Amino acid sequence: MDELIEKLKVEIIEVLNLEDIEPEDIDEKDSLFNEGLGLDSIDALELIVLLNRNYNLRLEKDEDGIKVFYSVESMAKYITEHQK
Amino acid sequence: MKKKDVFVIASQIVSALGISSEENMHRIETKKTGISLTDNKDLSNEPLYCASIDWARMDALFAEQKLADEYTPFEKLMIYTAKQTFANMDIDLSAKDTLFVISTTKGNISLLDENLAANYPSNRIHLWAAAEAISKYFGNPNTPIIVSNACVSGVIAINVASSLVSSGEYKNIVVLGGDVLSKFVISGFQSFQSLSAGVCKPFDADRDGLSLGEAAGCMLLSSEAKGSKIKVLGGSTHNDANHISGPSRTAEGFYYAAISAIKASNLKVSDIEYISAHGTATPYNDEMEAIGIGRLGLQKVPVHSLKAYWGHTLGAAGIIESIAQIESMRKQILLPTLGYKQHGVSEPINVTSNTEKASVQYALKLASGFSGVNSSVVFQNVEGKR
Amino acid sequence: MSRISSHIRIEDFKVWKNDELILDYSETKELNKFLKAIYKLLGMRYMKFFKMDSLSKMGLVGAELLLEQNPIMEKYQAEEIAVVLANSSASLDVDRKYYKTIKDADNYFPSPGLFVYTLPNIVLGEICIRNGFKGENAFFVQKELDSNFIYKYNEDLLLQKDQNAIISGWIEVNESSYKAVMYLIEKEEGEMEHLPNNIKNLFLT
Repeated sequence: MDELIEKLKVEIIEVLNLEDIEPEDIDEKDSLFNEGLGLDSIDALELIVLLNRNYNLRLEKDEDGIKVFYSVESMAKYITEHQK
Repeated sequence: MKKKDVFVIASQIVSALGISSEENMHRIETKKTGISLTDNKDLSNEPLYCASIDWARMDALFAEQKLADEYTPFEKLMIYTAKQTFANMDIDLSAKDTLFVISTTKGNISLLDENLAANYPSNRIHLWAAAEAISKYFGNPNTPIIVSNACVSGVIAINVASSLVSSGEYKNIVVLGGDVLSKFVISGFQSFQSLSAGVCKPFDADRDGLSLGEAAGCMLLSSEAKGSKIKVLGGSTHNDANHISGPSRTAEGFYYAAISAIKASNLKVSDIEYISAHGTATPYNDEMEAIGIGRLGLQKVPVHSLKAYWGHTLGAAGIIESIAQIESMRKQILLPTLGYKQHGVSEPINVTSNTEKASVQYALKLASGFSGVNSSVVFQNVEGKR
Repeated sequence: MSRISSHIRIEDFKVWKNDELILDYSETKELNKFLKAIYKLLGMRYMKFFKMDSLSKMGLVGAELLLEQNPIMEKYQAEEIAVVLANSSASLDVDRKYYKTIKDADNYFPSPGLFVYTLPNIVLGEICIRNGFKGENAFFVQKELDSNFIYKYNEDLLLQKDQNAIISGWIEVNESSYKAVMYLIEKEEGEMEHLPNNIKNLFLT
């Protein structure tokens, strides 16, 4: 899962236009939406597209987007659990 | 120079509800929606609820009017709607003191498809080119003014036109607003996950997002009354300074826009007797407007949203919803909010559920849009009873 | 008579403020890098900048340049500061970028981050959010700048709508072709009179 976490960091930086942020700057356990990166609602929607486009995954209706996108680690866990 | 009065001397609507104001008003008064489930791969990969114009019917009407195929569907819709507005008026559209003010968010955006664009004169993807094609059709010598300011475009267009008539710079102004459904816009709102799963429910506890629609609306403003009893008084537009796609929780821009419009109309806030809200039925918008109405102290004033009839028609919204509000004032009725069953906002605002008889004199129209913008305009029915 | 208290021009990879050249970036002919250079020159720290489309970036740094050393939020109320802009291509530049995310059925991934910018008035919102301005807004699309119209529109805001300062001008971006000329109008500050001819002159190269 470490490889996936590193890959996700690179993808998130690219897709959300996080300028001057390197993968090493992102702690995979940190909350994406409150501290540090301060992402907003549109960023959350872009992460949904990222999951769909790069990993062919869509959140189920009753799945909690807030839990899945809490951190890079939670995203990686979700992908690992749901990818065939 | 003394400011002139600004009268609304004619108007027309073409939408999913019909091809004339009469057809539209009848459907609204009898609470019939124009939103239905549509399965059209040109618009959306999945079926969606939206309010589509009957294009087959329109094509027949365009052919009757000999509207050539050099005009795009958007342009034909706009030209047709304007034409119907002038039908019984004695207005010289080729006069120097007549101007077109056009409101649209995306105009001919479908022309991003190169195959489609090849069918029309080049450059028509540009709003200024589409607007000129429209105003030149009527032989108007002036460069049209184009307002492209998200969902408040229609209200800004009314305000700009009203100012220009009031100052005496123009005698007659055609305020023409429209937008057509497109994959471009629909896919965008789908990516925002902001569309309702059915017909939208403004101010309702179960509201789950907006419905999109397409329409054109035309309002003829003049310094000559020509028997009209409806005046445009004042208007204003203010920004929330909060977020580009979500409204201020404290309704900052909404509040300032309303206060400023009322002040520009030489009225007190308590003079407002009738409100037409933006009411898109998204969780945040309707709550923001309720808070704004609360801040103004207008909780008891009858308020409606017409979005469940027409869907959200973007560049047309401010104009067709104003026309409906004005028409209802003339008919001495208050319009019902389709889709509203259970109060779902934190302020106890007075959302009308059924058509009611009432005579009012001063009405406030509100609109909000992406970029945190909020617009307002005040209309007066001089025959209304306070 | 209101006055233009500062003006800027962004064109040909150069930036002028009040007719003084303050940045020459002509060696690197990339708009994105140029806009970032202006951002850095201003010492800005505003992460949201990098999510914006070129139109919004240009408007944001343009406003920042105008307001440098002129803290108008200390002089006027938030609701008295307006932003009124115009251009020719509306949001066509980013419209094309968004369209690329939907045009191929096999690669259909509509981007909300791009879609949100597909309205030309978003630049007004970005300027207002950055600076806390809650005043009047309007965005007009014109084939060419109509200095008479924008002059009258702004004067009306100052005289009738309780606005005390207006950031106004023209910001046009269409792929590699761009030009921004912005100016700050205040009621009593500034040496240049706010008049249609003066506005027209600001635009002449």
